[in-house]
Amino acid sequence: MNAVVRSLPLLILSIAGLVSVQNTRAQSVATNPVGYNMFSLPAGDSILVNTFVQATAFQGTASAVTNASNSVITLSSTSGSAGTITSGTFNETGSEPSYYVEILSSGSAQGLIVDVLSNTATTITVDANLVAFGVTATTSFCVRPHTTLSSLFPVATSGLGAYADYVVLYFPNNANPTIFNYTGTGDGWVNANEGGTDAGSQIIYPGQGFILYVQNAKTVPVVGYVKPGPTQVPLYAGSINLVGTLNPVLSGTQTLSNYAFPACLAPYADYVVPYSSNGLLQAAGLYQSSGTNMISASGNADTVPVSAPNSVYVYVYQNKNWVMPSFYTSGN
Amino acid sequence: MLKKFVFVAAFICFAAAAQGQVTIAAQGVNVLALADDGTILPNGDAVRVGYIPAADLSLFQTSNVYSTLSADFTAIGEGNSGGGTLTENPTPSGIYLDINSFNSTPGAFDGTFNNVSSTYLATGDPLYIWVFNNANPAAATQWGVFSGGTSWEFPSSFPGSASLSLATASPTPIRGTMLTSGADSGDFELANVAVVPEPGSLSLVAGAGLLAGLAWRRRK
Repeated sequence: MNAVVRSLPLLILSIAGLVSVQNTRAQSVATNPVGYNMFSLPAGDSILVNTFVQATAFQGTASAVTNASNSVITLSSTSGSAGTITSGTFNETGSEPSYYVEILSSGSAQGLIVDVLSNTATTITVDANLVAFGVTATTSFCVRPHTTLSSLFPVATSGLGAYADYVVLYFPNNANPTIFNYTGTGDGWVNANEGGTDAGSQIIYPGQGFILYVQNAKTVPVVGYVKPGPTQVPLYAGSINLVGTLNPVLSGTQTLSNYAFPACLAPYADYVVPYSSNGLLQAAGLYQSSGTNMISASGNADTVPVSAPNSVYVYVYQNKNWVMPSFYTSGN
Repeated sequence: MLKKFVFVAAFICFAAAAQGQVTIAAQGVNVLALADDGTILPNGDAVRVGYIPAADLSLFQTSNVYSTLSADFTAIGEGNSGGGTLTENPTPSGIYLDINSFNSTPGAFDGTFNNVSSTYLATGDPLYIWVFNNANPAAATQWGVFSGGTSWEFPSSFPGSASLSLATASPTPIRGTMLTSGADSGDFELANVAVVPEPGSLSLVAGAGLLAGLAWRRRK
């Protein structure tokens, strides 16, 4: 096996027009399609992204958004599901956010994802000043649980090797990678950098790439919901940004042009590096934006393939948000 | 205790798995390479990319002896084992990266060294761009050496890439000038380097002078 992903059986039920799965949470209005992918991995390191999100837990419209470092969204009385949420449902667990808000209204903030700090029956407080991002008072939004190591690679189904396989995550304020070992018991994951503390709740944000090391070649199942609409993914200046697309379809050809990077990257400055998919993490070229296309020293690079679910490394000189195009347009 | 052992083993395994090859891009895009009189360097003039030991940087500030400086310069690419392969469009005629009017801009260049061994240099070793006013560096009469500080370092095996851009790193000239005002602001200019004949050549010049002097005395 010499590729990260080969001929993966993909089951996107609604895309295929077969089934539309209704979220079973009482407060949910989501009807996004459920998806199922098989990541076929060679022995060694693969650089991946989760191609799905968790089920939508709430969707509504705001009647007000405060201009504060922790904006408070007041739910509109006209929102179909407003008032149905239970106070505290979306609260942080300890100091870790459990849910996030995604802005759905079109505009500069569409696809913006911010952590939820807490909620009452009529308000949701988030860990950002939404007004600064251009969110309007009457924005529509949804709330989803974060994907975590435990939810992405659960003990029951992941097939990973205990104390053999592990995930590596990079963080903007930490140049060193953090290694999470798969344990095969409990919540399945421990933080190797912190002496083995439980880490199943470690968040993997939509579009955030990661390295998955597997000692032996294997196929790892991933289940989730297809995310409609664009997604904003932060890119941090001078940091190791691993990002990938939420493209649920692993077959077919995905290229650099599918990332819409030219709209985001500083021309002839910021750059993108894809990697080999043979388990060796070899840099496979360096690409920049001309302002309209992706280019390399050889010329136009729009057609350089980066098959889902592979992610890429992006280096930027200024903090910015990359707006990942939508790979599915129905649903919320 | 067992857990701790396993964690350490995993970390070592990751580091070992990450050994491989790195990519280094070198660019003078959106900036122009100028001779010391402000004229734009023509296509084909050589550009070298490589490492200079810190102890030898002062030599690069003062010496005009190419052979001496070149001996202290560990070049990326140029056919060196583990130094990677150069990609540039059009492909240079020689071993050097060159001015190639990238993006139809005279005086600009853009090249990438792929498959550079991750152990060719040490991670974090500072990299420099050395630009010449000749396709043959040894025959150049002007050159400029530029540093990008911590932005231009030999990359770790992962993420395994570095971009040396004269347009984005606010480069510091070791030799030459970064222009900061006027119409050429942002461009970089080479320094004139006096041609220093090799010791053997000096002997010949001195000998010829001596003979000429003798001839003059005879005529007198």
